[in-house]
Amino acid sequence: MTAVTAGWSPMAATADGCSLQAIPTAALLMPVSESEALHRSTLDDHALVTRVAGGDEQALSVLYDRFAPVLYGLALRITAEPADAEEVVLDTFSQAWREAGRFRAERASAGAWLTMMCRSRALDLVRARTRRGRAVDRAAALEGEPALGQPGPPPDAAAIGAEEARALSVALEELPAPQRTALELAFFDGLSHAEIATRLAEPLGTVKGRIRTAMTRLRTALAGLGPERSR
Amino acid sequence: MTTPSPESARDRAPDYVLGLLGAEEARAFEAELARSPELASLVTELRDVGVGLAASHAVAPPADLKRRVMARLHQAPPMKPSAPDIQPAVRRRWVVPGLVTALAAAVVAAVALDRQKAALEQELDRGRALLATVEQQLARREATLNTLLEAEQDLTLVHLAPSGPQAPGIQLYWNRRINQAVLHAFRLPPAPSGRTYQLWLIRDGTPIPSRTFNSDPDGHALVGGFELPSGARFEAAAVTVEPASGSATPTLPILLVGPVPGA
Repeated sequence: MTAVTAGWSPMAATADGCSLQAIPTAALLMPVSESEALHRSTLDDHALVTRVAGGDEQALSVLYDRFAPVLYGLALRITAEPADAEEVVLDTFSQAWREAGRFRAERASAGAWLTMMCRSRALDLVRARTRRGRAVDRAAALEGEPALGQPGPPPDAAAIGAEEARALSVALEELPAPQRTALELAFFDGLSHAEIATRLAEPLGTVKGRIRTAMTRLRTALAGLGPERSR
Repeated sequence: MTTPSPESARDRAPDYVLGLLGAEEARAFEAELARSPELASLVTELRDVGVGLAASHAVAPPADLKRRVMARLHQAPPMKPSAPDIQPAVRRRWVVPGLVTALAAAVVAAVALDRQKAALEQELDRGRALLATVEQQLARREATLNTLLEAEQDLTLVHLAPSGPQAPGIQLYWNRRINQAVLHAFRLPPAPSGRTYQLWLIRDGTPIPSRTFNSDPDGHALVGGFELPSGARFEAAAVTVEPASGSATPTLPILLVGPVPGA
């Protein structure tokens, strides 16, 4: 066998049942007292997910209260259709309920886990819709949505903590518009580097650099709050 | 094939978190991720940035959505529900004078029920694992379809084949819009033990290494959604047999080759 490098001319070189019924977990649980409900509402996100894995519906209820606005807003931002956004949130919490036992806190926070599931489902839905040729008028559907490159409303403090929300809000506002635009196209629209480069008429390397820089700046803003920031 | 250094993996961490890496790049990154606690910590922090971005668009959901979420829970229990905390109460009821025989019978029944429950849970876990596998397969096929169908007019089909009607062949579908490809091989016998097939893209007479792959015993291979070398200009594609880890330069002979239409 022969190794070749440059000057290759391949065109001239060719050779040759079980009927298991769902366990009614709610029926097995003792009634939740007010003090217990209060206790759950003060648990951190990780503890709540652990309880969800054990079939604790109240824990999921508390997680919903904490993250539903974030997840619904994310799904709405991506799908631009309220009905689709609702379905995405329904699917996300159903998936969280089924798969809470697989959650690993060392890989992601509970909020990040839920956000990733929600984003993935919303982007899948939009891609399927696009493939079927159903055009979506995003501008009409999401009246009042901030334009790309423009700062949005402050991050939701209930989901990520007031201090983090403030830090992220400042960091988002301080991002140069080109960095923010590229990041939003990647995160909310699920576009590839090449697609973003085409959309913005910028070189591929420039787009990659802007996205990486934007993510790093936002991460630095959050990391600057110290390890105790996480709930 | 090269293993990314920790530094380059660190640079790519934002791309990984945003899902911007191709399938092969993502696999290489995850291999590095499993080895590097520092990288894992970075990825965790970057994922929290995603929460922040999402939170910047938070909107109050419709009032009845929570009721619908909670109602849907009963359609499927969690993966591993923990045993409800009812055993102490049951035990207290069992400790009644004069009911020793009934206690023994109850213990036997409880043990039997516990074993049955464990068996059912195992079966349920197997079912869920199977479902997860099927879901992953469907997701891969979805990604493959997306690569093909979202290209619209930017799809280029490259035929790689030697002469002969029963000869093996490869169809390379190149989505120029996102620079990703789907490879379909047919009548291609599996590569010899310890070897693999490797795709090459030819630009200005220089072979650029691309994806390695192998065919199944039926001679088929379908590799979906992999990124082609950047540059978006090739005159031909070719396939060789290489060591299992792939090569940086092709090893002759060339098995299959085909021109890129319009190059």
